[in-house]
Amino acid sequence: MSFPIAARLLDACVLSVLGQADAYGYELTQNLQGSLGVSESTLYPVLRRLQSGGFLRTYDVPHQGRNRRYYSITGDGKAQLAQHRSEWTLYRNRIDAYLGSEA
Amino acid sequence: MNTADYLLKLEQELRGLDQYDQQNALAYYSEYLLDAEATGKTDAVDILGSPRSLAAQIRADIAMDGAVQPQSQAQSQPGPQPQSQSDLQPQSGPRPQPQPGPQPQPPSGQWAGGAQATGQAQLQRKSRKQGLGTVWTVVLAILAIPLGVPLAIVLFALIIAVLAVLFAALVTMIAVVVALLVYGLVCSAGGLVLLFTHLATGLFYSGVGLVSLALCVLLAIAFLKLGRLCITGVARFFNAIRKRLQNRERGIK
Repeated sequence: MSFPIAARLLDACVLSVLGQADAYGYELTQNLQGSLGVSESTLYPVLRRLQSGGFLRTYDVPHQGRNRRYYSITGDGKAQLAQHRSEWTLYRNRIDAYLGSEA
Repeated sequence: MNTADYLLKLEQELRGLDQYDQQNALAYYSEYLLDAEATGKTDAVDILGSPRSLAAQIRADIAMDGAVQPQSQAQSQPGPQPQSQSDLQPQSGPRPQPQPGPQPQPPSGQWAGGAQATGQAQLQRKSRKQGLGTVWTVVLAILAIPLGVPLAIVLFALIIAVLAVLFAALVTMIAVVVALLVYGLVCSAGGLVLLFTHLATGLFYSGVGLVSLALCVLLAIAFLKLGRLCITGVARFFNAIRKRLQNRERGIK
């Protein structure tokens, strides 16, 4: 992807993915890495920030003799996601005013 | 690098951070690497970069937006961010027609801002922790004086003694070489004179004189090499000590 992803945009994407289903760190990274091209160490700060903001909570599930930490979106996270979505629509419209189809 | 080694390295690099931050990061990345291993990717450096750079990234991130607050405290600050709201005010509602010409506000701020208010508190706590650290160092230094001063004197004396021994060795070498030179010259000169009166004695002395001259030259060469070795060795030793001290100073800063 040729445009760098700003931190808050990544926050929004993570919240959106977790809005569909809970996921663990590796799974989440692979998911976003595929389409956004973020590096493997990008997500830890994002998850930490979202968790400390109360938008995510975690729970551990035993997996092959160890724990796997799942991230799950909270009510506040859903509200935040909705806000991100509406902001994104506005933002996209503004950019589209310049970059959208040539018509 | 395998996962266990990598995590060990990372743990070392993260030292000095909050206990909670350290454990949280380590738990996340150990789980991450194990998951990666399960898909066949075993070289941790390939996946995450060097432990040092990863640790630097973790530290930088924590310094940027402050330490992880306890959950209860954090719950109170979700909701709309004020600065992004003001950014949105001038144009309400969707615009069906894109308008040409410059816009009053470039729409860049809202996706770029980061939370920095909490960073201040973190910095303050850091400096207080550092202050305590220096106080402890001073207290420990004072307590260590009764033991440390004699030890320092002993160390100093030892270094002086080693230097004295080396110096004595050098002087001895020079003395031996000079003695051989003088002896050789005297013997060969005497022998040459005696050659005309007592042939056998003259031959004997001139022979001894030549042998000692030859020994003198050989020993001089050997001693020169040895002496140079000693001097460079001492120089290197002091250089190492100086570097060590400099590094320690830098470490404290």
